[in-house]
Amino acid sequence: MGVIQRVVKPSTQRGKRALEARAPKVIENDKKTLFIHGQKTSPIGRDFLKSIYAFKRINSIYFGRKNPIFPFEEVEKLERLSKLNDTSLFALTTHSKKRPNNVILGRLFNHQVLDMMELGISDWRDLETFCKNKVGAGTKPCILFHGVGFTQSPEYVRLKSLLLDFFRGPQVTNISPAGFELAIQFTMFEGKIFMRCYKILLKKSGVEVPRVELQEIGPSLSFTLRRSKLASDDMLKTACRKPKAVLPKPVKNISKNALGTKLGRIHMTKQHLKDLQVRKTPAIKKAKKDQIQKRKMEKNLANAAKAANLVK
Amino acid sequence: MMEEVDGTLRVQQIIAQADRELKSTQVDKDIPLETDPGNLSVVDINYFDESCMRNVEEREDILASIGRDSVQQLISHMYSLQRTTIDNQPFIIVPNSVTKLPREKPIPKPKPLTRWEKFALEKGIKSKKGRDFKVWDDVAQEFVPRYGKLRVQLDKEKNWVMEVPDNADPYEDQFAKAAEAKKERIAKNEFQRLRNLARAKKTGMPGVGVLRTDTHDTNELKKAMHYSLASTASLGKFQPALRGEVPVKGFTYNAGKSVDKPFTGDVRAESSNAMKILGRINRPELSNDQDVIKKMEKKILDEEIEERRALKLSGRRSKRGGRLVSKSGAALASLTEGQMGDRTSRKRYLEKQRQQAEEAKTKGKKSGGKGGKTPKTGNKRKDKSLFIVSKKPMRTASGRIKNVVKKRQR
Repeated sequence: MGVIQRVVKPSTQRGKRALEARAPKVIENDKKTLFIHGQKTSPIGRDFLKSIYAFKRINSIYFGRKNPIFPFEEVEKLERLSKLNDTSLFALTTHSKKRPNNVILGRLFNHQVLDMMELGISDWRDLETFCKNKVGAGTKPCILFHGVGFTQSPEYVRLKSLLLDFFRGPQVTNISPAGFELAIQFTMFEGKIFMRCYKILLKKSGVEVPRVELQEIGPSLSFTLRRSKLASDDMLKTACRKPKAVLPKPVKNISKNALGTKLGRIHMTKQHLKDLQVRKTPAIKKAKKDQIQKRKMEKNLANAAKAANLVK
Repeated sequence: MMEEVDGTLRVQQIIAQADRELKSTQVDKDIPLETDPGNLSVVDINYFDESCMRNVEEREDILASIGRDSVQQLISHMYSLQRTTIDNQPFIIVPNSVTKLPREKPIPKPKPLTRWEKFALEKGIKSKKGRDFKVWDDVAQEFVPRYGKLRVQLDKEKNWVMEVPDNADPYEDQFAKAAEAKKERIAKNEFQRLRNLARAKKTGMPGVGVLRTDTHDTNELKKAMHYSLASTASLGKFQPALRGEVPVKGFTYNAGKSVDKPFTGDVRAESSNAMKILGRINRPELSNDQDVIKKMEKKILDEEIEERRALKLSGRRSKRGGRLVSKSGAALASLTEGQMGDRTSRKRYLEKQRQQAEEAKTKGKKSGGKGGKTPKTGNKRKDKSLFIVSKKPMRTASGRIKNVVKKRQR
């Protein structure tokens, strides 16, 4: 005797709507980020988190108290927080003798940790050293990756993907031509990653495309990769799967040849030559008339002959 | 003549200056940059001068210059894309991103069809979507809602009397009968809902024990037997077996589970079983946890309360809902001389009044000559109890208090 699983339903309309908002969707919401201070933190780590939070403020939650969370030892707490707050990215800062100025960046799939990378911060330049010119919160930044290093080992390939996922901001369909404001740059050089942030200034160039100038606005720092936990290829594959509804429909029977001419293939029903409408000319008409008359005469003659035979 | 020469020189100077100011938007790289307009990202794998990069001071310049080139390339690319106009403002249409990034949550599964939906699909029955919500009611002579709370109310008003059918028992309560029928319909619907859910989740139907006695289905009989055997005080433990009784299979708790089956030495089957269990454990699942729902709802409620509290503490008085006037029943009772306010405060007020009267009486008796003074003290007390001056009772012609209104203060 199977016992049915009790179906839990929200008791209020608002609760229902909130649940619908966090349910899986074909076209997803923007990823929310959880910023967490660990058990022990350093001013540099905290400043770093705060400065990133300033960019990502709209889709982020900041937990600025001491949280005894150690993702590389156990992920349960983190996953619980993610589930509770409906976040799928996280940045956690810790500080210890062994790993000073530590930041763990990570992403989750279905509230389970997919990838996380531990980065050590060095060469931190205080935000006050930069000009006060800031960009608006929630602008979509341009993400720049420089250096061959990002393509060399699978770990760094994944780090690039993680950084892109983390910093790319909201997904948009339209962007204003003057809406390019922020550029975040990651440069890989001899195992170090230099992170720089610039404000984009669009200057006149005489042509339609403006001349770009950059102005550094901070934060400015270097990363070194420490520990990392990467998702298995299998899990990443399931996470990267795209829904059928989003994929473009394959175009059938239309092709382009080498010259760029569009070719279409049409399927038709069978043509009956008998019913085919041919060109009408007087000559054809006359010939047809004559033929009919001739046949009639022959038929009459045959009939007459038959009758004669019968009479005999 | 000299002036003319000066003029041409100046023009040339200005043009040269302008040319210097208008720098090129062209970017030349050995390895072309990879741009992904969907994510506004650029990947540059070009070589950069190592010795300069090691130098801390020169590094910044290099980083800024290669960054500028990349952004320039990206923006040139973005400007070449198709555009739309929204509210007379030009916008670049951002294409889908090329880079594969993981999703946040799994792809939603299509909702399983209910039994009716499946049937309708097979038969080609189309749903009556776009039906009007309101329908004409001949009795009420107006448009009434087709279903819902308002409809129920209207029906109740309309059906205040019910006809007793010809062949029915005249003493039967037709209203009770209708209510019973409705209850049945609701129960049936609930059962169907559960059945649909069970089919969707591919679990068995909920057992409801033995319902009918007119069944001849062997399975049903077996089920009945199983239940009856276990329906003793000792849960069937000491129930002797009947003659020729075959133990009923398939109804025990562990029926069909591997627990029942002994290990037969089939290592392959055993390992595949273990793998199955492991697979079940590792499978990620997103269920609408009661825990999460509760927490969410509590969070929403907390936020609401917090909001209200914050509004109360700050902001204009008009937004807070006027003056902070005590609405206690005691005040109302004292104002209306025990006619209004809540029950306890009315009672308390009357009690107090009576006590005071008694006290006054006893005092009056004791100090006979000073009788004139006692009512005064009483009045004073009464005045003290009137701690809300901004309210006054409205009286009807007969002197009964009709309502308590706020006194206008100008």
